[in-house]
Amino acid sequence: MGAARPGVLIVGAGIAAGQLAVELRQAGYSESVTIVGDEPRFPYNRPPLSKEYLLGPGEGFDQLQFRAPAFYADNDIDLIIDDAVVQVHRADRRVTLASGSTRTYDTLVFATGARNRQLPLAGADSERVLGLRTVDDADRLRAELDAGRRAAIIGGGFIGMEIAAVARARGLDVTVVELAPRAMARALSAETAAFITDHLRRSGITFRFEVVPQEIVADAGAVGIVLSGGERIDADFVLLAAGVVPNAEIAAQSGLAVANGIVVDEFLRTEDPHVYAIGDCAIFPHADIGARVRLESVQNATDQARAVAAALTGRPVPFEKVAWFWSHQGDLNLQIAGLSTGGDTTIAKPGPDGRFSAYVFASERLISVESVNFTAEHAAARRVLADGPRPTMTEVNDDGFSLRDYARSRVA
Amino acid sequence: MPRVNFVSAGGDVSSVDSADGVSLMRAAVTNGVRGIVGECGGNMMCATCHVYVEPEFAAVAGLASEDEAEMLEDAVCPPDERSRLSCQIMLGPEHEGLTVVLPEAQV
Repeated sequence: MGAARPGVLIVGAGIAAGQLAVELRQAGYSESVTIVGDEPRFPYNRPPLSKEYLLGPGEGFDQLQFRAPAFYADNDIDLIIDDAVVQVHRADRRVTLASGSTRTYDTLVFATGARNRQLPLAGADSERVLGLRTVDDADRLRAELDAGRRAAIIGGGFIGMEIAAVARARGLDVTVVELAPRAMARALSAETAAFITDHLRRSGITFRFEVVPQEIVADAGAVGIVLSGGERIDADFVLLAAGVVPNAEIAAQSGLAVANGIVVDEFLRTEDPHVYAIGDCAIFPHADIGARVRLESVQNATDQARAVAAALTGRPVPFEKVAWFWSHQGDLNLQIAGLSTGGDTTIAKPGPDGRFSAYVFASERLISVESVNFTAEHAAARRVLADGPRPTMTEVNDDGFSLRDYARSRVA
Repeated sequence: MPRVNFVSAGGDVSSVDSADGVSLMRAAVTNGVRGIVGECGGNMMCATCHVYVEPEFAAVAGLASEDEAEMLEDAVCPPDERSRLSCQIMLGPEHEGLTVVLPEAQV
């Protein structure tokens, strides 16, 4: 390849990795850019895997590709797939790959993502138990949705809820089993979670909250989740969607600080000035909530990739983008602006035509807006949270309050 | 299989031969056209695939929906009456020659 000197080596080949390579080249970075990923695939978009990709046979891998295959060579990006960085020697800025070769770097960027959390359940290794992370997992799940009649899902987070809604839309009987008293407890207000759960329940999905799976029992072609107390939920397959664990082991082995993710500063840099971490694997200080957070979202991955590309091309700025998320659950389009972590008060406002908004406050300061089927609200929320001022609880409580009007009048 | 044209803010033209049934955003992104980001993957969740449709193609490109118009207000470069989110334009034979101008920035 063209560049002679070691440049940026990106560990991982997900969206954060792909976006970083793109941004570096667009910013005129002229040293080598290398991506090393362990899947035998070019970088691809994962969000559709739990949504439209499962709904029908129309979506092929081509529709998921982050960039056309020729893009990488055309932009002098060295894409190494079906291999992995297994060791980092920071003292001499060198990595060892699983295939045995070594590479040197000037800057190393961990974009290793996360993997599905496994549960220490007897029977969880049965072939009737599925997870969803890769396109191969999604193909397998789609085949089960084609053939199956009953789905049991362990985990009522975003992924579990999205797949429950898809399975129900495809006519399956669906049961969601969740340890917590409600769905999406980690990332969503109780009010919005209740609105969505009620909607999905009316579509025919069964929810079992505050139950503990004890064991998974598989027999010929069928499978059952045995709950504490002995009750058994039978299904044709079980989907395990119990959250994720950041892939931080290689970083930890190289002596970098790891605490629920690779620890980085506001410039997304580790304690080693030649090493950064971005995306699902990185835990970073979040100015708006005054704590370190690790986020699992496309927006976080791509915005952090942009921030690191800017830093590496001489324009470092602290990372402080407003976080946003979306989730499609049946005919509900949930959109979230800001983080509700630390929220103490929620004002919920059901709107006309099945719309819904929830405003989450911490110490009377608006920190997050969750909306359902209400894109105008979401768009306004992002402007307000990014550029303030923010409406008070009294203003939001007013019957005539419209965030859209507020944003129009107050945000430049 | 329409051929569509993207004109950068600096005046450079990138032409892409797209399959039918693909959004204008996907056609740009998968072919590496600079100046279209498409961060949310076509979910009308961001405004990073903003384009200005050349007036002679306004009819064939169609109008922005209400939600799309709202999201366009979050675009980095000011939207005007030519503005669309390119993820919401599904390409077909009728789009042969469609030409859009890209904003100076998307993020």
